[in-house]
Amino acid sequence: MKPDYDPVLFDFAVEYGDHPEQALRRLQLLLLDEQACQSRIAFLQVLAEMGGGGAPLPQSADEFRHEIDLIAEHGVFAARRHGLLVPERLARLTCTPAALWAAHQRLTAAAEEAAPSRLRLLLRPWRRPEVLCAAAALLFFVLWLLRLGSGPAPPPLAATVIDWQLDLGRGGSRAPASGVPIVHTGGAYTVRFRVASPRRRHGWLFQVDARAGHLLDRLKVHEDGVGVCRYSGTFDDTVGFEYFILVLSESPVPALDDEAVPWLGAEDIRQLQEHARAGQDAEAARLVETALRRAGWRGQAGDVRLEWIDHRP
Amino acid sequence: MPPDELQRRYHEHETAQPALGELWTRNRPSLGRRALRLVGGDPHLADDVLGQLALRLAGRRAQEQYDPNRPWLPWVYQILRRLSLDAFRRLLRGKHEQEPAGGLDFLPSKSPPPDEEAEREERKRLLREALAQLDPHDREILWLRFIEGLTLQEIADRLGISVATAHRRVKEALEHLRDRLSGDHQ
Repeated sequence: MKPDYDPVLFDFAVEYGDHPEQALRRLQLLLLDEQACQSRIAFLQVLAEMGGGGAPLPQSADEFRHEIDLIAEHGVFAARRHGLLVPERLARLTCTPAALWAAHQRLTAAAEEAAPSRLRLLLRPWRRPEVLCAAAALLFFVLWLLRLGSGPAPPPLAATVIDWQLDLGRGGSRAPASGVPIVHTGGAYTVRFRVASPRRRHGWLFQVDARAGHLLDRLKVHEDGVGVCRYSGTFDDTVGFEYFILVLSESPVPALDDEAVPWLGAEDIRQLQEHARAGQDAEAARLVETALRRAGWRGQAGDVRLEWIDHRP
Repeated sequence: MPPDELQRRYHEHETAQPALGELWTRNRPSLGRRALRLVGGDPHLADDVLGQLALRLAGRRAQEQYDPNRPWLPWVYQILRRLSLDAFRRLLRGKHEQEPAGGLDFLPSKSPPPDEEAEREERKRLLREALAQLDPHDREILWLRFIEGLTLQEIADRLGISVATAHRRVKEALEHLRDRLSGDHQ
């Protein structure tokens, strides 16, 4: 079957600048169509080969997991309506083979994994008169069917943290294997989380180092529904692993407003260091959620987001 | 009524429509969510696609070609995905284009699965040939844009050209590639 090169060979950023709606349609088509997606990946791989070395193609989709979540769970058009779209990030995603393939798989996953066999669906022009007559009769039935539901309402946006950014200026680096940011005492930083959620109107950003926790910022929800937590500072002399923890909630949780973070005990903090050292993200998240529940928080797993960095002398 | 029985009835001409009504009612929420996801969260487009889906499922050919020994919903998901693809293609090509409003065949593939590795290599060979035929300067611009990830301004600075020229050359290079590859496939 011939691939459709229309969504394969396009420059998302340029097209988004000219016609945002068209660019998003082409992106959605690219991600839905397996052949188109594979052709785009092949295009990037061949172009990289012909460039003769130089910049290697990024091999991991991890960097784009928020965009992929957004595409798979809410859709690019809904994301745009809610002001969650970062076109530059989507443009980079369209140039990253692993991310393209991961997005394609997420978007089409449930339909494919349950598929009993390879089915072929062919479209042909609807020309035969008898088919047209039958269709007229069927329309009554279809109209009846459609009355059964009032149309698919957009699913409410869950508490989805669409991105987090840690700006380290020139003072940071990343661990080669894990990609974990490495920071140093005295280094300036800005951390920012952006959140999409019409229901979670309350949020707190905490920093937990090897000694103690600190409340950095409370969620500010803008008119477009996007919530932001942001903090700028410099790293003190407490080396070890540092967590940035974003907590969201539908209702106020007074215990979380305390700047000294009393809901997280010394033993919790010690264990968080262990979990980071062992790369145990899930265990760390579980620990934090348990501590939050003790403090009166009643959220869900998706309402807490942990990111950790490696603070060295 | 158990799903197996409903599926069997959907396949039988006399009982197809009531069975479809029941299947539709039971699966309407998941079909709605699926449609919305496939069309990127656009509720109007999801409605269009669901309407087309209902039309096709009510068609006798779909009922005959459905294999009642296989789960109904995954089969419908495949049709929904195809309809979503076609909806985007129509939108991209302009609304004046005739909609493929019917005449669907849902045929279980009788041919062996394609050799995916061979397909991948063939795809790369065609792309390699098409890229090789490009002006080397255009190829370099594509490389800077898609592999190095430079902005048009950065490309312009690097090559000593204007941003407008960089913009035009990226678009033209992609157009040339599309033309060449479409030619290869005709």
